[in-house]
Amino acid sequence: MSAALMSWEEPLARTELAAEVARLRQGDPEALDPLLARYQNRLYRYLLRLVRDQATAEDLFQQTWLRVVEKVHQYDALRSFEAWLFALAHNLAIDHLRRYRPESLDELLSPDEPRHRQFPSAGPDALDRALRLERAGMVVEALDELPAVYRELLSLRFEEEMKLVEIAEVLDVPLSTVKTRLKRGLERLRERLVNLAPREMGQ
Amino acid sequence: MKNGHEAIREMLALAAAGALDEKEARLVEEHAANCTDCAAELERWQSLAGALRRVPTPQPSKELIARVRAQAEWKLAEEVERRRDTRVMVLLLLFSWTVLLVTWPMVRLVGGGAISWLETSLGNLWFWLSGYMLVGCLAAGVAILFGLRERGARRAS
Repeated sequence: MSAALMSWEEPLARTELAAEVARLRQGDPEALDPLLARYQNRLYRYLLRLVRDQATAEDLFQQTWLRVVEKVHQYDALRSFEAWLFALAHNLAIDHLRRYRPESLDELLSPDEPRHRQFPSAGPDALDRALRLERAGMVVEALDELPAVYRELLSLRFEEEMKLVEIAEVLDVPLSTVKTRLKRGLERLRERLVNLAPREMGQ
Repeated sequence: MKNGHEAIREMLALAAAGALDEKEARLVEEHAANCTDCAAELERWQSLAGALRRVPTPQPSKELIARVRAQAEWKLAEEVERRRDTRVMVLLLLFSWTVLLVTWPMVRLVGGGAISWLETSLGNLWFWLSGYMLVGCLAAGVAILFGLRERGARRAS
């Protein structure tokens, strides 16, 4: 049933989106509302995860939509609009970070370090405990402590539920890099959670 | 491809993230069915992935959306105007070249003797043609300046 639904619902949603984008290209301001409604929460969440500051996220959110309006006639309708939109936001955020908080860019632009991580022997149990507590706040806290490159990737994959190829398009990196970063991001997140868990439990 | 215990273990995080291709995913599944250690580890990664999917979503404020909507609309109008201006400019340019070229024989006809006398004395048809064109272009330039000024006034109001 759900598979049957997906089969017609998905192309339908895509046609609707294509029509909205086409209207925007023609300069129809009414096309702004459905597009904003469709992406406002996701785009804002992504930017907030990446820059970790509400005022900056709001500013970048605004800049992204202005950029959309400005560049929509250059958008290639055969490509994913979502990936194009998030790529615009990604580039604006990177420019911002590079200009104002270069130290926070950490590994975002440098090649991934080839490094193997070992979990402390208490790792699995501590992770189980941390997750069993089901403290969403703890996951957010751990996420926020990760370098921008991993925060961004985990957000795109798990919150935005993007396919790996779309993520590669947004970040303009090869698919293999996306996989490496995803794996390393998860490992680091787990490590952070394990380190946070005892602290939280002790309180 | 390696499919030993260690190799599979390295793939578990990506398996939980749904980031493996079909063949890799099958290898992991088959191994985890027989290895309790890896099955438990996979479950841990899966609960971590689950926790990530359940992270609460911060939402943009209504004021922000309203502000962005208004600015985007303004920008859109500006973009539309800019693109239309470019199109109009190209059309006008083509039109004026056509008019200039078409009217040139008439100018020659009316100017008749004088121009042909000057032509023979200066010996250059192209000199006169380009002079005529230059006058046309200057007139167009003045028209454009007026147009821009009027638009500036319209926008200010």
